[in-house]
Amino acid sequence: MTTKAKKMDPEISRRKFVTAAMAGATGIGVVSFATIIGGLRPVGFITETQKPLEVGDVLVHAEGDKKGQPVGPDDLKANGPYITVYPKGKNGVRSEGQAGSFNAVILLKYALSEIVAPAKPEATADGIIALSKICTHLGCSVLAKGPDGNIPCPCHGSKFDGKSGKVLASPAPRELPQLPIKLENGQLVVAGKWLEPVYGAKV
Amino acid sequence: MNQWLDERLHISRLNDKFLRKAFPVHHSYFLGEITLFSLIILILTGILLAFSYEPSTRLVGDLPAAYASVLRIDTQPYGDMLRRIHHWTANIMVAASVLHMMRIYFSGSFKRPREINWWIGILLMVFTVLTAVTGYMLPYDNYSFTTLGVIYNITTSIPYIGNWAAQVAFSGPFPGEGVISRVYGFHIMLLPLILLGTTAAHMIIMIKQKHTQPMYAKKIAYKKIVGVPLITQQTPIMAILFLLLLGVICLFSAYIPVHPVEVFGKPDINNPVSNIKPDWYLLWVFGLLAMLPGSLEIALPFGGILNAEFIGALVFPTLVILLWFAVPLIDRAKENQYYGEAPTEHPKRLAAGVAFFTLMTVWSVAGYKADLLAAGVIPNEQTFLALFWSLTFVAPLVVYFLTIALVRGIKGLRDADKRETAAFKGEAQSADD
Repeated sequence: MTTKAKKMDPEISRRKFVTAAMAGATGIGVVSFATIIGGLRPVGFITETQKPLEVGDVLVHAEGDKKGQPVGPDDLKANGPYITVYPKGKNGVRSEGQAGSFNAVILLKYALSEIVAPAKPEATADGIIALSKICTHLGCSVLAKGPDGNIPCPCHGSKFDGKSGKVLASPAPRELPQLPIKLENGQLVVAGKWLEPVYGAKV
Repeated sequence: MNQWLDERLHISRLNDKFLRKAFPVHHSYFLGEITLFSLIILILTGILLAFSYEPSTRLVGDLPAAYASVLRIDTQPYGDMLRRIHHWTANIMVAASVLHMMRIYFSGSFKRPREINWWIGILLMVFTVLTAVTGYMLPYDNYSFTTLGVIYNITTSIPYIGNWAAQVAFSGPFPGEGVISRVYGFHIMLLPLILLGTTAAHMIIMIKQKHTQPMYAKKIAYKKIVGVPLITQQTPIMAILFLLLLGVICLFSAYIPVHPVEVFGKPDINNPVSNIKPDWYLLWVFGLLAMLPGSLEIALPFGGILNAEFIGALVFPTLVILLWFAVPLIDRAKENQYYGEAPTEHPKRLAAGVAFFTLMTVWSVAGYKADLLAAGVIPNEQTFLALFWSLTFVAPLVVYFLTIALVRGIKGLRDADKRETAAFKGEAQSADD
């Protein structure tokens, strides 16, 4: 009985008190510091140019002489080089995406019969297929078509087929996502959401 | 004047304790010094560059301010040279630290009582590489920009916290407005402070524990510290070494341009530079990324994904660093080590080290995947993967056993030679009798 009473003695030694106080202070310090680290992430606000594309956006030239002008079917040659385009919404060209530029789209033209799975021929317009420009491996923009007609990525050597978006050389994990498009009044228009999530988009 | 100072500050104690430290005389002991001198050159040139560099992505005309300020530095008198010296010295610092580490490893100098300094040395090397990589991003030209994007995306590949961590580290979704000031903070404040702190610890522990003695010291004076004192003999040697190093770096910088920002152009997310590679010391990670199939994705509980990018760019390098950390735990000495060991006396350690660097070389060559395929050296991707994956497993093993066989073979031949000589001498002697 006496020993139990001794154990329950409310008095604590000075050493114990100081140790507990220091541990407590360290804990509070660490937690406070963690909140500071967390605060390093800026509060995101999305500008008009960064918003994801919407159905009905008109595709416009991303670069060159016709920058900002809508793309017509005559701007592309079958089996020719691709052109880079941005979707243009009501409030301006969506030229910037977040975490990469997910809005950058490339347009390629082929004979309709050449467009094969995993691409969907019904999502193309007049033999024009729209693919994401962002490599699915680590988010680099792909380069212009190589001499073999395929689309290489500069970062880790992946290669894609323009006719389907299919991966021809790893390490890219999946095909370039396809964007459904349609022709409206001689302009190419976004007809639907991306068929696969674009690189970096939240799935 | 010395007396005046001594009466007030007791500098003679400093003299006894530090300034008379004995430095072993051997050329391989210069590697650590070269690393230290590189750090000094980097800090000095870095300060000069920081005077004119503007860490901002704000647009000046149609160029980001960071890129515009680097272009301006290049037009200033000696500006381009300063940037080249800074860049070259960074490469030399990493190279010297790798060679320094090889010397310590192959001579067994990491053994008791110097394990702590080996671990600190590894931290130093990791932070040196991180500082070099963050410095790579600062010019904010098209090349750096693409590299920065890849590093951002590698950070997002960490399971569970990837996106959050990447946004904390690089100020929001890439390319965030604050990304350059964030990386600038890492490169000129955080990482150099860590580097200086760890360097100081490395030096103080080295002075406290003293250098491992080179082999010849055993013959001169057994269990005594052999070497020249820091003041006055070692100091002029250091000064000459420093000037030589600076001279070599200036020569390199004058004739071999590095990272020509004018050629790469301003950051353009739609038109990346066509052939991107990291500097040589990270080429092995790059090669690994090119070798691992991107389709490799393992689902973790609670929605995490373990993908090829994470495994290649973060898990493997971490394993390699852990392996280095484990070295003094695997190869141990029972008593304190005074002398460096001859590598050939420890064939297994020698062979393991050579095998490790073989593996690094294989992975680094794999980093040239796109070039090898384009040049037709390797016909197609399947052959590339088959070749480099088999080399990954076979080459280190072959090199390991080859090294051991070579060392043992040469030793056997020498022993046989010795025996024969002794026998011959013995015969000659008996004939004389």
